[in-house]
Amino acid sequence: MAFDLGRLAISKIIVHEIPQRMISGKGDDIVLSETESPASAEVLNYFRERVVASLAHAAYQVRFDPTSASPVPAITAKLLKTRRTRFVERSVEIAKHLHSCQTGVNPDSLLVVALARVAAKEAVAILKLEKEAGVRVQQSTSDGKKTFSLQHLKDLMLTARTRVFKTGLFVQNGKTHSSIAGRVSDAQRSYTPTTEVAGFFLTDFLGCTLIEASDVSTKRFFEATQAFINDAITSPDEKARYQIALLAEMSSNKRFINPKEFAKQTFPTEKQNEFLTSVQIDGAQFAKDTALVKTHLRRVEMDFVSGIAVLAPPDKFADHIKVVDLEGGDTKVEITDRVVKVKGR
Amino acid sequence: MHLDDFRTRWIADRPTYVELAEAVVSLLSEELRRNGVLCDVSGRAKEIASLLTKVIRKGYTDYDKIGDKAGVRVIVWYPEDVAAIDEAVLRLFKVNEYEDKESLLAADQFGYAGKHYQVTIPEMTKCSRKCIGLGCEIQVHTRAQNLWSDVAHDLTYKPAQEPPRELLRNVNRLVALVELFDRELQIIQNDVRQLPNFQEAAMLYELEKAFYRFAARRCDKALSLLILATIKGAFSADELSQYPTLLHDFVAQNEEKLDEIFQTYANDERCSPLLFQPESIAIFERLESNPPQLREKWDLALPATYLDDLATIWGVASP
Repeated sequence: MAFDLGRLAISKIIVHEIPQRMISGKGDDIVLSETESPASAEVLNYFRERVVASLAHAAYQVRFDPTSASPVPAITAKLLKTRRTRFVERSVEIAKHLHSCQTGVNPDSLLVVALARVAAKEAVAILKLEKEAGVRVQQSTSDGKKTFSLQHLKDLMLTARTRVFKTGLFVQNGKTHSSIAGRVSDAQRSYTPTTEVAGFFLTDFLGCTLIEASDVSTKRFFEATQAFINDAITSPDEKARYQIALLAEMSSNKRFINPKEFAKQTFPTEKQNEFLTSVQIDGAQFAKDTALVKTHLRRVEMDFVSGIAVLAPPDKFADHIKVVDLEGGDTKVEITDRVVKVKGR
Repeated sequence: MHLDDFRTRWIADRPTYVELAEAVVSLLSEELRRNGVLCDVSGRAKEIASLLTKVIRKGYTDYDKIGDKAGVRVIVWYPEDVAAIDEAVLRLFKVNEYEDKESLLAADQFGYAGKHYQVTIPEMTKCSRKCIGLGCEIQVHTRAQNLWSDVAHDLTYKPAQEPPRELLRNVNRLVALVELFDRELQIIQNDVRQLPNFQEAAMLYELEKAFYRFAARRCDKALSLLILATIKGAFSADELSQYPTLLHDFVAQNEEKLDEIFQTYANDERCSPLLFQPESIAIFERLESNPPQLREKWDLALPATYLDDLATIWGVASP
């Protein structure tokens, strides 16, 4: 279920430091806060913007996996239900679990757990932020309990380079555990990622699964784009060009499809919004899996009113076929090639 | 009643009248803000010395007869909005006395033309019980009338004998300018909005009214016009011709969200300076309706990050 990120309002945050875990088992100790962080409007809005920016850029709808061994689904459900009660202790459990899920490849980071609302619905945000190498986080005390100082949070805010590695936002849409809607994004990826979100974060840590599999997203994008080309584009010449661009996108060696980028590269500006609205893909990009559409990628097919059809491999189309829009709605197609054979069909 | 008795009673009562003035300002500001009436509202309870000099000047013997102990002044930005304030006052308060100073002037006479209301707060209103039933004066001025009322005390006095004709003509000539100023200002404001090549002024007028409902702040108009001139290209000719309706519909559909956003950032000094400009609402509308066109036009004249920041505040990916 999609929710309006513009209506996110954060009310409380707590920060824990999660050090890198060495394969040897050595490494710094986890630095836990004993009370929530002091929060000014600037601090709360800073984290609001970090959550929004990462989820609006590339987020995936997720649900808690009932078979998961992660404690995060149960803790999140309790936080959504009881809000302030045991907020600190529950965030500590989340921090310890994240630490146990990480391996030696995961760098030092800060874990922020936030209580929030999205359009009056209770919400919990979990962010994994970059911690600059070599910087020892300063803790201060509030009522005798350790916490991350406001000054440190402000320093973090002022550091434009501070990256949000991974974000999860969970919103209580109903009363049951299964009615918790989740969105997750992952900006800390390798150069050639194969999944939308790193497995250790999505599955091991958060205990979630993606709601829509990549092959389903890919098929939905393919079919919606084809429908757009046939319904919203009137010129047969343009229809052919856009269809070839779609097949090229599907057949390329890119591992992800970004509809916004595809729109920019394929359609004129005045058509891009119409396309993006009609495609309605949640999140900015998704992993490409053409398993369900691969039979449609081999040929471009043009069907005519008379019953004539032209079939062509997409990579040969531009070189051998010329489509001209004639006055009165007719189309002239010129094929320049050598006939090999003719057969009944 | 001795002057010291007036002083003693006013020292005791004044805090309640301070509360009353604050309550009237708050009720009226909120009502006018929700209706998109652009104005400044301020209030005060009379200072102790000021009340006592009034007692001496007017020869009061009865404390309860002294009017204007609490006063609220509304200064409209556009003369045409005076009528909307009249409606708001009648909706909110019990009006015990009303005086339209202009209606007291003869056709060939010029003078102070503000509107004065003697009001009390009705029983059911949410405010301190102590304030119910106490009188407060509301004065409604245009900006020119406000200027005139401020300087009038220096110009008008009651000498023992009639001042020379020439002096009276000079004062009348000056006060006639106040009325002329308001009238000409309204004509010019209307003309500016209708200039065929200055569509952004008409857009800004609509946006100011919408914006004022959520954040009663003054804006940098020159910046507003610069940004609107840039993003105007992200609208079709049809959309521009219907802009008041388009904006009204957008605000109606997103009222809660806009309210939440402006409240969330009201005390955030690090937030985008463009948020508290009326055109932020126009930008939010385009982020919903046509982000690719908005991005294309924006990048022609303005730094990309300004739009990115507003997109994040609105909760969408930067186009």
